[in-house]
Amino acid sequence: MPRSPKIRPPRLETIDLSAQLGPLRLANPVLVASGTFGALMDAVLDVDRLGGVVEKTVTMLPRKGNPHPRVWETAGGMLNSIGLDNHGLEGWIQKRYPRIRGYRCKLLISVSGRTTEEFAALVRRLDELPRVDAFELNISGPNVSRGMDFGVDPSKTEEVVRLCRAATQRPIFAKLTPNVADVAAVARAAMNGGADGVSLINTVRGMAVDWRRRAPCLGGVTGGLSGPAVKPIALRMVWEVARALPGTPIMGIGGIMNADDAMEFFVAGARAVQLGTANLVDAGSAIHILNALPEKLASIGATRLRDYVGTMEASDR
Amino acid sequence: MKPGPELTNGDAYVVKQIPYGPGCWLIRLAAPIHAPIAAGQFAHVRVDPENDAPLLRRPFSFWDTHVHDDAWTSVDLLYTVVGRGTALLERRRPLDKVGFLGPLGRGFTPRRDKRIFVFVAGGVGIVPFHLFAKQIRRSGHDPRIILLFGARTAGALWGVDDFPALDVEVHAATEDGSRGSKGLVTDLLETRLRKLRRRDLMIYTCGPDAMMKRVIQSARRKQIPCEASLERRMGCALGACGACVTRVRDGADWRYSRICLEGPTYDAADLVLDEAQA
Repeated sequence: MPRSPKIRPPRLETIDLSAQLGPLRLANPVLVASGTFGALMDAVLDVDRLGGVVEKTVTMLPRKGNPHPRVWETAGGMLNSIGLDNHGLEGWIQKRYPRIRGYRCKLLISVSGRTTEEFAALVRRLDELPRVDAFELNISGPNVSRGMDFGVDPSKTEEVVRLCRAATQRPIFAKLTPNVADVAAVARAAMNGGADGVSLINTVRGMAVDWRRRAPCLGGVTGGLSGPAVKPIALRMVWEVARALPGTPIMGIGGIMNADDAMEFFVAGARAVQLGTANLVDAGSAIHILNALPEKLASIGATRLRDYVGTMEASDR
Repeated sequence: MKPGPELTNGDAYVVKQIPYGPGCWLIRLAAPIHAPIAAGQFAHVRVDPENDAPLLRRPFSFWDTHVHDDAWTSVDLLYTVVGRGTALLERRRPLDKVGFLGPLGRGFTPRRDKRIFVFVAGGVGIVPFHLFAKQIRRSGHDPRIILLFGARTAGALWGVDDFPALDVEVHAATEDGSRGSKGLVTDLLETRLRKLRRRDLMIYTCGPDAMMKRVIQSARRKQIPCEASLERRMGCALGACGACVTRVRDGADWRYSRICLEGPTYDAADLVLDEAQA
């Protein structure tokens, strides 16, 4: 690993940002996270430059979602309780898929089922679409009823992934929740079930309170915390999974706002990153980060991003 | 939803801030805006693009627009200081950068078949009506415009003196009676509606949800068409995150509509009112 500042920096255009996550090859390591990209966003940024788009979670039936307020800004972050508001599987195929199938980046479809069988049914149906490149299993959304909390239980996680594995040849990523004591155990279960990698972290369950009204600030009462406030939690969990399961393809998510944040996730063990809250703050965030990454790598003498993944030196606990 | 290739997402510069009353400012921003701006549309503003606090953008209605030949446009946003974001905006000085995303959303529909427009505004809900009146006067359609403007007190009738120059008849209602009639603007509306011919009228309203709910109820009772401009806490303002929603009719059922995309201006007939009050 060349680290000496005396090394002449490589030319920026020769920097290789490509990422390999199991069978999924990305032109670059920057994706936009589920639920934070859609509608008019492709009008203000060049989607084709992204490593990939993770579509908002699709459920079997349409869901109206939660009452407002659905977002609440907190110190260094925000809570959301959208509640998986979506068109449902067939509605998504009719209304949303035609718009995104023309994107030249990778398309990852996030799915969430009420049962393990429903997860598999979603994957099986979406697998018929030619432009779906991979699946992300949302086993960890904090804003839905208890039936969907597969991600807190390693054996349930393994079962969900195994059923979905049987339903598609395409890459599968399990999106992990931080609301567990041992994230590596859940990651291991997902990999045992046949996942090609893991995405972490989903939002951290939280709450905001209006003491004058003596009421919760969010219409959905509790919500998921995201943004810079959760980045240290996400980094710790990415590092724990990378350390416990060497070689596991990891997509890092959690409060990534700029290229330095992304670099932190790469050295901690993530091969790619997903932006969530950053898209809401500035729909051009992914492009700003992509523009800045080559220079970050050049500044440490690196020519290939993948040489740098998981290279953080940290002594054992 | 048709993508707007003319949407601007970039830095705007503060030209100036003009005091409009206690805790109320007009901020003029210069930005490379190419799209025509309709009254009732909004800008999603990042008050400090070099800082992550506050994190999210804040939505503001346009008070006025100034189109220049060189593709740079300046826009006036009128705002009151109500929280962290607007407190920070108040401290921005000329040549400071702010993030500008816009113009966004659906503006008011000028009903050319109506002879009398009644604007019912509450507090800072006055903002889109200034640009609306200006655009109507420029359009060649020449309706009588009556502004019914409610606020707690005379000092909070933001920008009220800018309306007579646009040939707008102004009637104020203040809760403390310090200007105009004492009481609620919705009572003022009821009184006015009795004196006007129903089929000449079109009502436009913007203000607190409770006020708009009563305006919409009055309009429905008298079968007068009405448009309402809503406000919610927003995330992306591009229709992606699903944060800003209101209930709208959907056949026999209802659905959540994303205000940033399908609103903020709605035909009042489409709104499901219980939600508008919440």
